[in-house]
Amino acid sequence: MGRLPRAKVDGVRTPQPGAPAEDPDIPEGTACLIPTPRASTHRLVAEIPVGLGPEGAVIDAARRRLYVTCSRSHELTVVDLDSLEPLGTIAVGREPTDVALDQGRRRMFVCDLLGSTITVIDLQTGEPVQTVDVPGYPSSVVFDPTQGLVYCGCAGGSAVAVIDSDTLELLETIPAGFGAGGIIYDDDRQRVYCANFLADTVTVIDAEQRRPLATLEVGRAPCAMTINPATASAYLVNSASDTVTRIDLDSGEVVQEIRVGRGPVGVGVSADGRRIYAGNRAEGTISVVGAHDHQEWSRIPVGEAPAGFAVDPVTGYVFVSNAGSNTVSVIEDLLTGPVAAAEPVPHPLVGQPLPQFALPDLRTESLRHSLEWSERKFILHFFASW
Amino acid sequence: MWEGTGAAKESAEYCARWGLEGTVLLDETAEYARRLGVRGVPTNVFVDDAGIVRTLGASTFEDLLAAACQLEPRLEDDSDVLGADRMPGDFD
Repeated sequence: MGRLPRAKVDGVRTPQPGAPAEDPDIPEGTACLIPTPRASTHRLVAEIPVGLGPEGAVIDAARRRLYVTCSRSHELTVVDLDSLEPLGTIAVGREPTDVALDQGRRRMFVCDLLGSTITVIDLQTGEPVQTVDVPGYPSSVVFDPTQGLVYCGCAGGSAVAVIDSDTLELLETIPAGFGAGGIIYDDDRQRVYCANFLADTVTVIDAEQRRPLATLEVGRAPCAMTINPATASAYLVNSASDTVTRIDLDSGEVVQEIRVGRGPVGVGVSADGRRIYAGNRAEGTISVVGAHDHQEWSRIPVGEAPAGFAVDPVTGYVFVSNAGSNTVSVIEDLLTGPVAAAEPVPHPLVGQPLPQFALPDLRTESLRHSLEWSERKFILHFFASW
Repeated sequence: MWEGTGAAKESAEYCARWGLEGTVLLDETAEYARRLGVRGVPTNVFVDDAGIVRTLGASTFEDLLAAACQLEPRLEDDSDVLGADRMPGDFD
């Protein structure tokens, strides 16, 4: 496993719940805990530096480890859940975007978007043991503990790849929709749900028969999904509609669409199942949604371009990977109900002159100055680089 | 506008993958994005012909359309552009 530099201190450490006031294992000047006034909505516990372009995250609570896929440095960052320190990295395939755990076999499965592979990692050694070829652009992966299978949404093949967790063989591909990606598994009902980013649909799959059962219409550009057993619901973020879709797992039908922040691409559920989190990639916040009243309770600022979620069942801390700032925000959610929304405030730049720029052009490599666009109406589009 | 480490390589791959043409500016350090207060993507900055920012944000189709109409009021009268059956891809 590669090594990462330890986090730098930006302030005084905040003691963690249950931890001694002074922790001799964390040398002076290297801890990453950020003191934040105890607000009524949340507490920022830490901001952990990770690799480049962090996206998916998974927690191995038993071993007290967080694994984060770093899409632009082609590795996983391993974090100690108790000290909240990065421990090192594990090299994987090109552009890893998601990760799933098989606790029984002590394996981890990472989907490599541009490598079109699944990298299999031995949890004991922290070393890759094998790669499995799958259809193009695998972006999301989930483990089925009942059948010992791994499902992976593959946009290139518009399909769900099925891998045997014992033999590590690709068993088959199940047809899904255009842009197949975000995927979840409902163990109680033996169903797989796959979000089809380019079709604005979700494919429902019978996991036992390995065949599609239904197609659900959802919002625009659906991305990640999660399951909340407490409400027998699945949740899906629609990145171009700024909404969360709730699917009733008993009926298999869409029952609700909930407004959240701008550009939601990640979704998670709190340890107690009472809250849903949406990572609003376009505005650097997470939306907290009540799992029973289906309202947005609050919006919490995190790092730039938040993506994946993981929740520590021991502490209840919410881990948010920030693809733009190459960090993981650790949040203690203190909400008990909806907080009155503040009046929307226009961005401070609206009504002001655009700051001038001089930036290189990708195609000509020449420096382009904002004066070139003077006296013209134009749009600067910051696109999906984070 | 493409921000972040390896901007040239990554944006070139992205444009090739999705068949995107047009000007792409590279903000390798993301300094310009941060100067504008951009916290994520996609983010659109609408600038009028006096160089004034009119909208910053706008990621859904409806928000984009509203921002475009504010910038160019003639669009509101253009039923072909604003037809209910039109989708974002139709503008390509």
